[in-house]
Amino acid sequence: MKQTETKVLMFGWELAPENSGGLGVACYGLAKGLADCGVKISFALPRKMKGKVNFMKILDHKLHGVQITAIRTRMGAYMFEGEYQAWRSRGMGEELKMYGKTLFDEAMRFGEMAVSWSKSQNHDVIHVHDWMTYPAGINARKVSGRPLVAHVHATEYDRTGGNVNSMIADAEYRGLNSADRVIAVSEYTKNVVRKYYGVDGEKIHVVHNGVDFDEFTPVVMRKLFPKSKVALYVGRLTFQKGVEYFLRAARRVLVYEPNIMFVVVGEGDMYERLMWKACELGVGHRVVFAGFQTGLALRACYQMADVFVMPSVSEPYGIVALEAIASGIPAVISKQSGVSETVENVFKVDFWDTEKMADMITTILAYPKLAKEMSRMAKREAAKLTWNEAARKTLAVYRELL
Amino acid sequence: MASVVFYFHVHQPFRLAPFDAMRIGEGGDYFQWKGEMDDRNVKVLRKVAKKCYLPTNRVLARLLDEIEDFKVSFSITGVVLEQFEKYAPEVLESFMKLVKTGKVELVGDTYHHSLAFVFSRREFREQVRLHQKRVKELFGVETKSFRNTELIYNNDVAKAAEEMGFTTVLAEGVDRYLDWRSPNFVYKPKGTRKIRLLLKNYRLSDDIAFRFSNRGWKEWPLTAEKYAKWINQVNGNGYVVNLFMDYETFGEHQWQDTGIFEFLTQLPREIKKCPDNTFMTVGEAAWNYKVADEVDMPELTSWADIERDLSAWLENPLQQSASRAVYELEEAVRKSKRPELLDVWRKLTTSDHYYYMCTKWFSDGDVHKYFSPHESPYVAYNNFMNVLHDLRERVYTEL
Repeated sequence: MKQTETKVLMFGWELAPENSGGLGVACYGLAKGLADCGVKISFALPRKMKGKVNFMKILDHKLHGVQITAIRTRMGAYMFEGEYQAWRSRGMGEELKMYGKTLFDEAMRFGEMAVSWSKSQNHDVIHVHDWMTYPAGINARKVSGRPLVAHVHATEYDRTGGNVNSMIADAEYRGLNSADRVIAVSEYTKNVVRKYYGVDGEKIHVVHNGVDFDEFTPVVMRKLFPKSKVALYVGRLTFQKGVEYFLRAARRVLVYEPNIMFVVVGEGDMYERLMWKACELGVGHRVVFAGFQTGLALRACYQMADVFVMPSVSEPYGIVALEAIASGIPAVISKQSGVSETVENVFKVDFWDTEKMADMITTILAYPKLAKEMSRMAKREAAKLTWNEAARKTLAVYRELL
Repeated sequence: MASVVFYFHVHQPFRLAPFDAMRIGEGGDYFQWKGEMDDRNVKVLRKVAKKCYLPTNRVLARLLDEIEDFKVSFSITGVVLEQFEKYAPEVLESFMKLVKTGKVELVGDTYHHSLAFVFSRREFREQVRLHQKRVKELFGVETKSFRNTELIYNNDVAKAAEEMGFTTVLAEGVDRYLDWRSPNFVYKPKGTRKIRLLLKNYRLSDDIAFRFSNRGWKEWPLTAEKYAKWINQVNGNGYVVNLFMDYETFGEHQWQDTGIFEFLTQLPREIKKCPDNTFMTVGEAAWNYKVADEVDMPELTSWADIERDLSAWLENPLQQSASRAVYELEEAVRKSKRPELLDVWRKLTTSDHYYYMCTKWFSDGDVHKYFSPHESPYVAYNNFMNVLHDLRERVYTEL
């Protein structure tokens, strides 16, 4: 079979630019890379896309009923069960009664809708992204008999540090073990999948994420803090992301570099707790909670930074680190991450070692030449991490199945 | 005999409009919303003018006219005076008319309704002087009595007020310091020479300010007749009945339909039915009677919440972080020699901003929330800090 004819039925939960996190970015980048390789994709989403995507077919219209959520409301791909309940109980209108009661139910409902799609869309492979889409993948596979590829961008283990929601972990277990192949975004994640979900290592392929350099090419933009140094965090404000360690490091950094701002870009269920923590640590006056940013505003955030920090507790990949590197910013990244497998010209640190994290931040600030060289070399490394490369590897996985 | 002292506090803060973090460094007017129609400061001020300031001033004007010895005292903050001038000049005029009767005492205050006393004695004195100056310019009178923001008080406040030339100072009648004493006498603050201290009778004051419309209260409905009786009971146990409250009690906190205006209209007449009763302004009351005792209040107290301390503004880390960040900037703001930056900075010292960050009773959706323009204490903090970061950049640019 010629690769140009490969038809993929893909199920995702969000898609850039209408995303709340890295999942939507990765799905978009990978799909575009595959499309460039001649793959025909039908991409199913549980919500209506506002924007247009020209390189693949978006299947969102028929599922309009499922998406009680739009991006930027709280029910993104990353919403926790508790958050979701709170969101629903705030009374989102009568029409909601027809929909599922939990995020889990939403995923199951999406799975039911997948049956009709898998009938109407001609496809060779089914490709699903993270647990919310696994039921859809399993159902589609039952209907069409085509092979199923489960792509792991994050697991419940990463999100919760082991304190898992058993229903979600179970959905992951079923999805990963029903799949014909599993794609993990890193060796780090491959290990998690093997260790915690009992998936045969032979079945798991690692495909590192990429970054679209064009989107982060440095351009001249207004700096928020022209007179201060800036240390930047980008990501959701959740347990998994370890923002608290960034704040702890900030306290140490301020001793050596009082003229610095710590900019925290992102939203999440830890917003209030982190704000409280920053104040408790006595660094509140130097921390900016900038909210969720995307597009040009996000680019501006990277542009104004002198150092980027990714303090994740457990990070399957960490696309933001590549975005920072592509923007020419020296990076300090957690060893507990997938992206640390792919770049060497960064500082790597255990998320809990905030002393060392602070040392690395101050080193970058104190030695501009080093910082420049680091970012230059890292950029060169990251340039190899393209979505086309990820697509080629993904295509190789498909080929094993066809 | 009892001298009834009505003292009303008039204040509205300059609330902060939403200021997105990505706008830091762009500057702009922090206290102005896009379009006057959506401007929360304009809206609130005009609403309260209509519901409270204008109608209550009318009631008082009549009382002052009809009852010979009727008197009241006001403190009107500088920031609300500014807003009157800008958005509701008719309110300012009606206050001027009241003052012209000669039966109204204006009380000194911090211009910006700030917690400056706690953080910067220099700033505190400047804000008090600014207020004095503005009151003199607008009303042509000198303030001789002093109340600190939110009735924040301790021995040092009294000393500072005395050093600035005030002869009377006001405080909450906090039980834990009054001990066996009654608030119905005149006192001398510990460590001062001459200045006199009037203490709020919080039971009687709060019966009007907080409980008036509470249907669960056993005294509801409160009539002027009943209330006057309670005042008469003070006869023999004291000389003064210090009724201190927010002016917004009338028509804003207690809405018109609760009968608050009828109550206010009737009350002085009911009080006068006992011929021994008189009315006095705060300064008159403090100096008309002998000092009964010395009061020692080392701790900072206030008239807020059940605690009567500073916890409404400075209890949690958010509030402490924000206030620290503000006063950290004081020196740089002064050095910048830019009056407009100093003015903006001072408006950030207004206590209300910190009040919005209070998490004490957030879960109950309490009174703090009622007054807050923000959806949560955290959002209030976030927005406040965005503004402060922006101001800091502007100040640094000038240095």
